[in-house]
Amino acid sequence: METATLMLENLVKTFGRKKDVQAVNGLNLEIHQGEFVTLLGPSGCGKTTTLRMIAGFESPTSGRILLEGKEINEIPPNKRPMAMVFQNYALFPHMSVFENIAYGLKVKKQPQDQIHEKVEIVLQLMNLVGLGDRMPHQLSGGQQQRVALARALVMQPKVLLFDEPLSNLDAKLRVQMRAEIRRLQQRLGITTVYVTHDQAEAMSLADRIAVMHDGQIEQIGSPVEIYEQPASLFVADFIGKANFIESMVEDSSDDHISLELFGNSLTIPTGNHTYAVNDRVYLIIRPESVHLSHKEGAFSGEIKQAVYLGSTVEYEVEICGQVISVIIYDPQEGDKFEEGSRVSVEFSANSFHTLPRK
Amino acid sequence: MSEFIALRLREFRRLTQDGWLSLGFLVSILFLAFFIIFPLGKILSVSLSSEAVPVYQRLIAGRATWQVILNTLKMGLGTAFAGTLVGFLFAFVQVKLDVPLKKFFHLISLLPIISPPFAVSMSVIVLFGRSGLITKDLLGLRYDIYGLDGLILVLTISFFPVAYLTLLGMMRALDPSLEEAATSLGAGKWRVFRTVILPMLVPGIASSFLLLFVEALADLANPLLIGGNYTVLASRIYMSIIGEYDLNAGAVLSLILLVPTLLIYFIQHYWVSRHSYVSITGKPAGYSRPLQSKWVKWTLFTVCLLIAALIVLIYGFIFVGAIVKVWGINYELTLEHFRFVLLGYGSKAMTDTTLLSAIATPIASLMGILIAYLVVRRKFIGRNLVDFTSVLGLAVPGTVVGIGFILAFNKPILGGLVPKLTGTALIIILAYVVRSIPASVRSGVAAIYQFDPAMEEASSSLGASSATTFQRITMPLVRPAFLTGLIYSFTRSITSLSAIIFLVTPQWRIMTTQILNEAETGRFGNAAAYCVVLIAIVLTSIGLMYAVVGSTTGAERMIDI
Ligand SMILES: Nc1ncnc2c1ncn2[C@@H]1O[C@H](COP(=O)(O)OP(=O)(O)O)[C@@H](O)[C@H]1O
Ligand SMILES: [Mg+2]
Repeated sequence: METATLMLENLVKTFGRKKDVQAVNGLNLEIHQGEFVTLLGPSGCGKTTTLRMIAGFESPTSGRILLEGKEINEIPPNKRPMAMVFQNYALFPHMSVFENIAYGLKVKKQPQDQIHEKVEIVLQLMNLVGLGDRMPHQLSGGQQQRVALARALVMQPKVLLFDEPLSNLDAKLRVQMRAEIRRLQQRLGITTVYVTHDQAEAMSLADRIAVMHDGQIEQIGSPVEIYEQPASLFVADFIGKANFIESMVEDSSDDHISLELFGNSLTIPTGNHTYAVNDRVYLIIRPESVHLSHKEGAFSGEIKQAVYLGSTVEYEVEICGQVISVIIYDPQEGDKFEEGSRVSVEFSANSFHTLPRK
Repeated sequence: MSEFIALRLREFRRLTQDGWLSLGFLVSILFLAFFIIFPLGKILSVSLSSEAVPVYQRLIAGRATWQVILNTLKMGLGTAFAGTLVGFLFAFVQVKLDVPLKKFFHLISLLPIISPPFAVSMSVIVLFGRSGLITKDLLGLRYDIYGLDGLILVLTISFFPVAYLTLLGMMRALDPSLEEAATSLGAGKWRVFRTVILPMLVPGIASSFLLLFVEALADLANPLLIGGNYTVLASRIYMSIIGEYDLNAGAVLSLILLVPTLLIYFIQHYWVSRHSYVSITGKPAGYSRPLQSKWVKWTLFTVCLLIAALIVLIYGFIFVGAIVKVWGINYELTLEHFRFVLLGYGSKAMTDTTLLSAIATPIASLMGILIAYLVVRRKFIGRNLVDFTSVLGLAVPGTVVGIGFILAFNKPILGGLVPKLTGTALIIILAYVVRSIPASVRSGVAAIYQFDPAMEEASSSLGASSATTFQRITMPLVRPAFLTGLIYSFTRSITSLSAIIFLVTPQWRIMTTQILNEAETGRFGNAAAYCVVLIAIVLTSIGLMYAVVGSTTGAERMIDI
């Protein structure tokens, strides 16, 4: 079995005089050697706090942090073999690019010529050649970001930590840096924990995504697992869009269940949950798995709203009193549907997914 | 509970793991405890001991006491009112009017900050006194400037800069879009001012008012010189120590002065700042359109100009006083006063004062920054107490600090570990440091709040210890605040009178007390020459500190608007 580089065990962090702010609430996470894990969740769910505990800037109220099997709770941040890249880059404004990158090596009292050599290497690696003498305020946002990354990489850390590092860049640059970070991480094989609230960023970067909610990890898995088999309503709702249709189990066999769907019966594979007859469930289906047409079909609905977005059209369709979101790609190709018109609705049978409903 | 204790212990252990930084913290905290808490405690214990009972009986029986308290209140309220008004006017003109001479007005309002005590009083007496150049010679009036009106005039001129700087910061920070929003909702100019701007400035106005009140109460120099028969608490304390050698009475009166002063100071410090809508970042929030009404604009400008002219006249006239035979009577030119100060009796005072202030300044500034860093960046249980104590040095009137020092250090303490300090130069340096620390702490706190803690965390994450981070990252980033601290400390020290007046001995001559001697015995010429020399020393030193510590600083920004 592969040993985890970084393990978080039952991590708890409370803030406030009365310990009434539960920022992190019994969090467990294993991160393997060389793995890229993102912590994804809405603002305030405890991502930053978790990352800062890993870095050593906050000490856990309870729980353990293990690096290569050894507890590091009491080790101060400057003694941990990790490097962090901050949201606002936190470049030292009074030092040049070169001095910023060399800072950690100087602190370690490495010989001058080695420092030079290493800094030159990362400057090259990060496409920063020739900028060594610039001051941080003379750099563009993207360059500052690269310097921040270079400053962390030059330390050859065992773990690389990122806290929403791309949130200050414009959309195009963000996509570009995203690719660059992924490429570097793959090449250097550094274990990485990356905090973001942007699901596209998480999906494109991570080997595994840990979706956080209220100080806990709600689900952890590959981007595909997270999207296609969300373990909770929260995850389904937070990652992409989802329709939740209330339903009831009519019949249940070993590998299939039958459900009621808008007055019809639907049989689908059981999935991760086992149900008994009459159990209440949510049927979950992504908007892109719903199809509209003018032909006769199983279900008939009325278009309540149509929003044209160029590459897609988003519809709100009412079926049997319930409103379903539908996304149609490539709208120039297929039919268009007017608000108020009636359409027939089809669901991709394999795209359904269920979760228990209380 | 045990978890609580464990946590606290862990916090304290962190504080001790920072090498020389920990040592700095320790020294600073011990300093606060030993030179602020202990002397104040001494005043409390003396003034509440049985020996003090007769003093209270005498004070309560004597009608004069109540008169003194009443006098003090009148003076405080008058100064607070007038000073806030003038400060508001200057700030308003600076921020909201499009008029010439704004930079001149700004520099004029900074002048009283670096001015030695007595300067304004002396000049005002010679200009507006019984035989004043303007009142008697020019206008033929028989006007007696001594007393409440004279006091309020000189105190207003001396302290309005406090109100000006507070309100200037606040007005700059006001978001102009609020004003625009109100205007676009149909409110007229006057209504916008009344319903949007003024309410936002209320905390600033209240805070200026309270600060000025406290400053006026604490001032000693002006009541001594221009108070005449109008006795206030500070001058009463002076008399009981210098005239009557009655330390007990001094302690009791100090307590009477201390309680309201502290109360108001902390109302100002904690309450007002919490009820503030405007956060002062130092950066202007945007560009607000200057006030258009010509009538209002030029009226305010004229008033401002007149006040500025008065200040220029007063300070210019001091220079005149220093180079004429008998100021106010014989205007024949002479260099004898300057000879007295620079080459004669005064030269020792000049070097002594400069030396002691120069020793106190870096100590106060460094401790100020360390305390600021401790208060802003570290979590530990005594943090609020440290913060609170560090401002005490300024909140407590100087006379009270002086008496506390006498009571605390007029004999060896801690079993002889600390020798008797009264009579030494050391005690004067210590008093200077106590008085200067608060300003350094304030400017340090403001500076440290300004920069992202991520900067220090980044350093730490790259392997630097706390001490290295402080030295390589924090210090360079707060350098402007450090310089501001240096300048404030030096200026405060070299111009301070009330805190050291009871501590000076003949071995060490201090310029401010020399000025008092000369002025009290009517030798205004020598006193004026001292004042001019003192201002010259302050300005030169500020220039020097710029050169040594660097030039892109907050202080520069303060002068350079
Ligand atoms: N230093 C702190 N003091 C008090 N509360 C805090 C502190 N840091 C974070 N919190 C609270 O903890 C919760 C989680 O914060 P954070 O970890 O920053 O969330 P995220 O990074 O996911 O947005 C929030 O409710 C936040 O207000
Ligand atoms: Mg965050």
